[in-house]
Amino acid sequence: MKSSLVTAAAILLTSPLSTPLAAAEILKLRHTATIYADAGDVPLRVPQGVGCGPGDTFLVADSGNGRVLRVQLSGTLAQVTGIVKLPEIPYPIRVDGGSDGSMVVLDGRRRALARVRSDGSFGGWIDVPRPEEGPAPVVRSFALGPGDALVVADVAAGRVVQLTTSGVLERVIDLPGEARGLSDVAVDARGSIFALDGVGRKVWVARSGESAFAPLSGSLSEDLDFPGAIDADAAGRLMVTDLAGGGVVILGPDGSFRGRQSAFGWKEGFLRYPADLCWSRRGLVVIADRENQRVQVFAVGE
Amino acid sequence: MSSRRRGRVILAVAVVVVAAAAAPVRAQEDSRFHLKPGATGKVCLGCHVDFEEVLGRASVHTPVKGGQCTGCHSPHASDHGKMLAASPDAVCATCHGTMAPEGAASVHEAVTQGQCVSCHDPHGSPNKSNLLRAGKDLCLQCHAAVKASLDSATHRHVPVDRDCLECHDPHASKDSKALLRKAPPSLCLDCHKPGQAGFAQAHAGFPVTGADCTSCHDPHGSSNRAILWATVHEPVGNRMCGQCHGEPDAGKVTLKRTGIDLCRGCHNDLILEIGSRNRVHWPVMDGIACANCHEPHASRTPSLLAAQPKQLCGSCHQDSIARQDRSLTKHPPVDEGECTLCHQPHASDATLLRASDDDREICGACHDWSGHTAHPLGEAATDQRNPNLQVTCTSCHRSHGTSFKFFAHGDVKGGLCMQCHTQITR
Repeated sequence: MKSSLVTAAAILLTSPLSTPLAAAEILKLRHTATIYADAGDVPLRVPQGVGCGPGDTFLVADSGNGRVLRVQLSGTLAQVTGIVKLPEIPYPIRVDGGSDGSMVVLDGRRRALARVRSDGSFGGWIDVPRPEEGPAPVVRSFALGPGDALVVADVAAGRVVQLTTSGVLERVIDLPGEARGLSDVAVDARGSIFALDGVGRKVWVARSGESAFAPLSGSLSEDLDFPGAIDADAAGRLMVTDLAGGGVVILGPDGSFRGRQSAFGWKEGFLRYPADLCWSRRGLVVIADRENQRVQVFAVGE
Repeated sequence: MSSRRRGRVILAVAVVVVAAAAAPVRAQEDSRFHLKPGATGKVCLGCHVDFEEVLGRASVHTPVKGGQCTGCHSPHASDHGKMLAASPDAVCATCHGTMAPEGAASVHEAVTQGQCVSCHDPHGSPNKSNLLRAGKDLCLQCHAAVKASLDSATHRHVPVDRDCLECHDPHASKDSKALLRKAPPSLCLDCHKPGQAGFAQAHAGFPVTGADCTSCHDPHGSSNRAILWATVHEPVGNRMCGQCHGEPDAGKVTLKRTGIDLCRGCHNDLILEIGSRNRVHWPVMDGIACANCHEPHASRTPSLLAAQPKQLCGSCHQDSIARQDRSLTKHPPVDEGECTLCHQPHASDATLLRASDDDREICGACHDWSGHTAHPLGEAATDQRNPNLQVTCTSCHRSHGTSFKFFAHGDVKGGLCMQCHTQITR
């Protein structure tokens, strides 16, 4: 009898039927650190953008203070190691770091992208090509991909533009007609571009080399209230912030729902209107916890 | 046999055949309830004496005329009101089918709900089709908003005063919304011919026969000339279509510019103001821009909004509207769709496009918060949960609603206060 049960269990576990269950891992966020202020105790104000740098460094668009912070994480201690404040960028809302120590910053008032050199000096505005018969670009968000390729969400023309690090146009992908509002973009290690339709509560994907978006997910309206930002990890998993509901939603590389973490609240570990996130290669997720006026760092584990 | 005589024979045979066909039905009825021959219908009238008056009405339901009361009613006992033999919609559908074609674009709610007697008297009526009331009087009994608008309109669309059914199918429309017999402009062009004198001039020479007439005109009536909707975009009212549209090209109407640039010509001050703000409502900046929320020609709502604010804002922010719907305590500005009491619809320097980044200013416009609470607020009170926050109205309340009383973030009798005042937690 016992040997029959053992045999049956072995067959069950090794059968193809068991594989989908085993593959759908559940990811969890464990709160690691919080940044409330810089080294001079100047508190963050309305931080709206984060960008993961090499190692345990990341950047924060401290919008309300009109500056970008460089942050170093050591275990559970997050310290601001540098401040970039430029008159050309009075209201930074998105930031990401290049591999050479430079950064790209989206100014919320001008709605245009700027380069900032590694020494913190202004490196000029990035020219996003205008469509032939379309309006001047209005940049809502951007992402840096492999090789520092720049992927830009242009809401005026309803499209995503991919540029090389030297500004050469590589790809233009129009948002599908049924998409209702381009909120954010992300790029994974393979160069797949993910577009977050915030109003339609949907994720679209254009794989490397493709020139059109295809739906990656169905409607996420059952899983979140109002999506705000998206990022991808090295394995192609996606994390989407729920602006109105607090928390983040995790999707698999195929767009399938893999769980929801955190919730609306004030205490550490909780989020209120998480405006942006970045998912580092070292398994850390940094979230701009906008209405809580802070940035929180989480470790991702199964 | 002469042809005339042959015809009389055929007619007589036909009468006999019809009578014979009818006889089994009546005989069947008589036999089902073991009635004496010819008693069908008359038995009922023995008690229901006031029915004689119904039989005298101009339009009498055929089974009633034929005395076939048991065609609809179960004479001894029934599980349904009025001793009906089945549920009301099933009874009518026995002879009249579903009255709505499969996949109909619009179906009258009364039909969906099987409420045929909302409009029809099942026995008889002075009005054709057994309608309870004649003409538009019947429809306006339920469609109060249309009635109110007609009562105040100085110009009424002529068919409205004749009969709603000139434009609407009372049961369902296969192809059109709003039970229209045909979609505009096709429906409108049945009466309003483009070649008629004045048509082209009224439309500034633009080819409008492919457009939806109701984008400018209220099909029931309004107090504006040409029954334009209540709020008319000034260029439209002045027939200055060329301000936004290019010259028609092969019957196609084009826009001179796209996005926000189209509106900049007249609304430059507003657009500059929007551009000067840190935060913009993103639909303002996309390819459709102002037309995301505003009708470019005419609208029934102020400010040319495309819909009432609750529906308009809720078309994207359905989560916020749903939160209010679920809320234990209603917040009237949200519940009644007065979104702009708290939010700037175009741009703001405050997050969530609030009118101010100080909640006390916004809430204080309606609530005398200084009289409402002695709890320290603002600079004098750091939120115990987060050193970067001050205690404000939204520290305790969520303005779109929660599952707790007074749309608090927790139970006001315990949990809410304990979030900060942990020292008094047992």
